[in-house]
Amino acid sequence: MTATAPVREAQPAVPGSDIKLGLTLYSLTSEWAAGRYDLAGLLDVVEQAGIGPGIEIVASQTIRTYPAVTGEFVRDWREAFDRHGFVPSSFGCNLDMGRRRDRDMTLDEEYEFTVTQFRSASALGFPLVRIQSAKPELIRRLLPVAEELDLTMAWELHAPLGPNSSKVLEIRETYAELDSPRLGFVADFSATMHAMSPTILRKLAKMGLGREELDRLQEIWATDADINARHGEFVEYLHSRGIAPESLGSFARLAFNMHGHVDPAEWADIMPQIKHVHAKFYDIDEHGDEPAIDYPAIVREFVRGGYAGFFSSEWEGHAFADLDEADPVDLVQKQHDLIRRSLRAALSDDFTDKDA
Amino acid sequence: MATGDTVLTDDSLIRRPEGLGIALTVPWYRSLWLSSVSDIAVTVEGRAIPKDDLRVELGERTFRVDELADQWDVLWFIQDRLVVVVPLDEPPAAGRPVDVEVSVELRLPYMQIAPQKYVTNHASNRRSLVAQEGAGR
Repeated sequence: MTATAPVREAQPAVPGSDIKLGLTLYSLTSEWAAGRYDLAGLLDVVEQAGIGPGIEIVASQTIRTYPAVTGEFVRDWREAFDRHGFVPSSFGCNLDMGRRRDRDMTLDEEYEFTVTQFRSASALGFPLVRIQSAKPELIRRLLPVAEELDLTMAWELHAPLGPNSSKVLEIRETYAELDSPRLGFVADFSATMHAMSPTILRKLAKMGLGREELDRLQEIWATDADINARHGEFVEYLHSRGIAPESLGSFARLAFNMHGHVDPAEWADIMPQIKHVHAKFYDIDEHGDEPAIDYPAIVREFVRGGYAGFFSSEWEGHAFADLDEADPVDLVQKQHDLIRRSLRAALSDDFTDKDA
Repeated sequence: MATGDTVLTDDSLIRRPEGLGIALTVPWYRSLWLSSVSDIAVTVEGRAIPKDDLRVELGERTFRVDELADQWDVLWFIQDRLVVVVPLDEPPAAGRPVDVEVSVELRLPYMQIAPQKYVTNHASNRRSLVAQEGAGR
């Protein structure tokens, strides 16, 4: 194992803020999958574009020897981070409990599979692991490993759920029982969108939906029924229009489970437990705004709540857009500008509030 | 094509001594265990190729489609290509486009719905592509 290097600190996004910028390499999934870059090349692009310094990965996407890392990978990684001045932010774990066809993983296997990733995260210098299962008996067993490796475990809160969904309330209860500062959440802004992203609407139009069908989709999306009910209603509507839902592949369902419309004010309910942020976005319009996610409003919540940590830019347009339809690097640059602008506005509001 | 529905790329077709090699990308955003591949179906020039005739290569290893489900320890890394070898009586003529359709069914091992039940993804691409000269194995 490599000796622990001195921890590098990322500078605040704007002076006076506790929020730092960076991205998840997942934003460049399409280019990565197409083989345009090796890891060194990808990190070079990030530095040239100035969209660090916080670097997050989805381990199952970035590491060829997933869930483990080789000594050679760790060496190359640490050298690249030193050269670029990057700071590891979050290591995205997956729990592949269904990798075998004859049975699901046992609890012991879930534990072992996750511990391997925790050790990889630690070797690469990450302070935080994104986890996908908050099963109490698993969390309880993992906690001493997190202590040993000095890791924070953060369960990802993503659309269609919000901070007060029943599943999340259960996790909050588990956290309250275990009462450890090492447990928290990754807040993904997909939970708090005010509209469907134009990117998925464009994709669905390409797959054959007309204006009327897209309008109806957005109406159903905006209701408060759970995602199965909303998806079901939309499928029924498609049938009534003579459209086979299968013609849309998985995209009709993704429209509901990748876009949530919880009020951004709800983030305040779990703010002290938010350890990392996926600054989800799909597009930046000609005014520099994200058309479906109200960054100024969300950033204000995080500033008021005293969040200190990374906003890790997660461009997920590649789930709907073709390779080269958009340039994720350019979009992340513009989104960083949007975050900085929102932060300045929120900080000056805050100052005015305190002054009054 | 987006992350979840891309199987074929411009350079997917390879001329092989046995016929045709079709290089597939993972139709998902991450690497997957080969056991996540539930099925692969191939049609060449409108003719569905019997599954038993297909061979699937990952690096130096070769599998039949129905052997993939057991490969829970073999990772299909997202930057690697899974090459489906289709035996043809006559390999495609140089420079002539070939009409191929490939469907891949995935079971996503980290997205459990219920015990032993997982979210699936179906990706199907049909394209007319010119086969590149392959180096064989």
